[in-house]
Amino acid sequence: MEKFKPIVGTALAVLAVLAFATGCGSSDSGSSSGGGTSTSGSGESEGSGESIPVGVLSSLSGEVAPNGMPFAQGAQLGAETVNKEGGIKAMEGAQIDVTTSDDKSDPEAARQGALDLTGSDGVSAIVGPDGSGTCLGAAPVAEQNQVPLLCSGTDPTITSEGYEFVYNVGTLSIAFSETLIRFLEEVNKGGEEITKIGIIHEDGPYGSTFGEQLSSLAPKAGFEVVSNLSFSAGDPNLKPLVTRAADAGAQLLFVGSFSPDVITALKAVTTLDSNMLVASISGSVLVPTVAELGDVSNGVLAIANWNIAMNNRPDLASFTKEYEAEFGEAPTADAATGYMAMKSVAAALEQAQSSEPADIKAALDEVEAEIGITPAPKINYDEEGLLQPQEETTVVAQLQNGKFETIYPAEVATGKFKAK
Amino acid sequence: MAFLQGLVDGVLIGGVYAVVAVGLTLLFGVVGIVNFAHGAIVMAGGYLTYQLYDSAGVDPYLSAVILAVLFFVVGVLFYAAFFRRLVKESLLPQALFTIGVSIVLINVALAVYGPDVQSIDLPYSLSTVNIGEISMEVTRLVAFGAALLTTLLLYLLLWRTDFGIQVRASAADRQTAELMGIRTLRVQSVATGLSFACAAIGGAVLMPILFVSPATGDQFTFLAFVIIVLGGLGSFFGALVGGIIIGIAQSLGATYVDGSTAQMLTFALFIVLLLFKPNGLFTRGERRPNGALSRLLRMFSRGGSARTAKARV
Repeated sequence: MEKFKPIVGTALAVLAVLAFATGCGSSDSGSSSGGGTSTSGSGESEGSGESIPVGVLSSLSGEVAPNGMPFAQGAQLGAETVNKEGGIKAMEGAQIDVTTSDDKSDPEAARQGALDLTGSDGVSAIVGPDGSGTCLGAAPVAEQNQVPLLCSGTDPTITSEGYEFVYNVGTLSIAFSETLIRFLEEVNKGGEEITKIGIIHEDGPYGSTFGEQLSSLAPKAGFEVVSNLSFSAGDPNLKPLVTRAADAGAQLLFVGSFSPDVITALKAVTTLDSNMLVASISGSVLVPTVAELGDVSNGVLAIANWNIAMNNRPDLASFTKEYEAEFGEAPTADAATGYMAMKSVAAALEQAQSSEPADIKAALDEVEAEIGITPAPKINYDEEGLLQPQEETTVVAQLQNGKFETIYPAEVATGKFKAK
Repeated sequence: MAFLQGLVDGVLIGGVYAVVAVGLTLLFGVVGIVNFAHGAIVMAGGYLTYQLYDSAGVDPYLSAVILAVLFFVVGVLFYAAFFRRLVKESLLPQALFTIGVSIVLINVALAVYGPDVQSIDLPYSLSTVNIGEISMEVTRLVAFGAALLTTLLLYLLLWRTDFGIQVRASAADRQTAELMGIRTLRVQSVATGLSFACAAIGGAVLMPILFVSPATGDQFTFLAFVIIVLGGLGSFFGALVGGIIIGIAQSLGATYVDGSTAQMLTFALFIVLLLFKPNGLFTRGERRPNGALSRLLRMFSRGGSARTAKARV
């Protein structure tokens, strides 16, 4: 048996190396420890030669990677756009130098990533993570080391903990929930009669928050919540829960969970031959896989902080074109959020005229940035560090013949609601 | 009616679980390898099914046949390259190695296909067969049929053929089997090939029902272990019945309470069943200290050889 041990050991070592190599290879900018991979983008201009290190901390692997990967790519594109356009003009065209780190969809890894970025990498600000859990993991480190952290999450505690250096560029779950209710009220004014809502949600903090909020808000607005049922994320058999909502007369089924569960629920609704509308949140719906499901997903609603089709957004077309050219796929809401966060950092750098973290933080507290791709024309942060305006940054999109059309609010709408 | 529908849904989804678990129990029962990469191999089968459909329009059920052959060959080669050296090792090297394989496969999937789920939109994927008010999805019926067929074929192979006698002899006592002229390495390599083929079939028949993503690997590895411990390590019919029990518990739980509670009830049922049948449901004649769960735990705690944990096939 002894003679096999070196062979087994060698095999394990090879596998470990391969695992590391492919893990890093999953993203051209992944990093697991000891700091991240530095990329200043392909569009450096002839500036002062100075570069400003900005960290991007996101989930490039793990279960939140479907959201984290486009977020990081969006942030990367944001930096490249700034650099191409001449860098930070108030700092003689200084370039943004992005250092990317993978939080592996894990709060502890996010904490370690933040430690590396603020320590050995010495970044001036961090964009990310994208997700409440990882955001809360990285936040104490950013606060302790006094480096601005612009993360994205639906959890209000991200900015209610009293952190001075933590900003939330995301939209809170309550804003999504309120938008859905306002949208349904408007739809009903237009002649529809959607009065009964079924809710199914994953049993983690993300889904449960939506379940609680909607079941509280809907009755106040005159809607009846006919079912509110939880499940474990990734459950391959949602048919019993969907059946119960349909049997209870639900006209709209809200799925408070991630993309795989939304797909499972959509298939269950179709097999039941039900006319229930299905709705969910941003990144769970606005992904190519959902759009490619044909009749199964046609009509699905996305309550989102961004959509690829919006009217009156001046930079949306160029953002979409450049993102597709660079990453070979259409941008998602997470990509737009990453882009917005990086542009927000750039706006703060312009105002601060300094790459010192404390100066950037002071600028972020005051700056009003024009992003050009977000539903709201201008964004800023309130005294707690939460993105403002919350309501105006939320839209409702509907999948109509393979394309997500924005149907609410009217200012940015590209289409009208279609009943199933 | 809700009860009947929940029961039928549970049986059908249980068949899906069983088709995934049966390959794992085969490898453990015959070769003595605890394969933590089994779910990742199922995932690889799913991705290749997706790829064949996306690039060449190959129907997933045809892919199941193609991939079964392909993965059988891969399994045989994999045994020769790696598992042959791990058979005599304790669980720890086996676990480390197969977890490593799983990590590699998941990261390769992540690198090639990205983190998003991949799904196949088939014309018949949501077709249903209705008996009275009971509705059954065709794809789940096919998966259930695949589970039954796979279990039956493996049973016939191992209990009704000379090769099966060799397999069982090798599993029971490798040295004695070798002294009797049985080429145990060949037997075990074929068993590994069959296990990989079962995983590929599982991945292929899952695609019309669900989807595939890098996370599929971990999800199904855990589930498959629960099923084979419940059914009895090494028992094909145990895997089938274990999968169906888990499926029914989840489905009826979701019908009457909610999905989260159903999950909890499923594991409560798992614990209760193991208290009364510690060997699992379909192992025979062993006393409690040799129960399926306790054997696995012993291997972890004492670093004992996987050979001591072989179950009867």
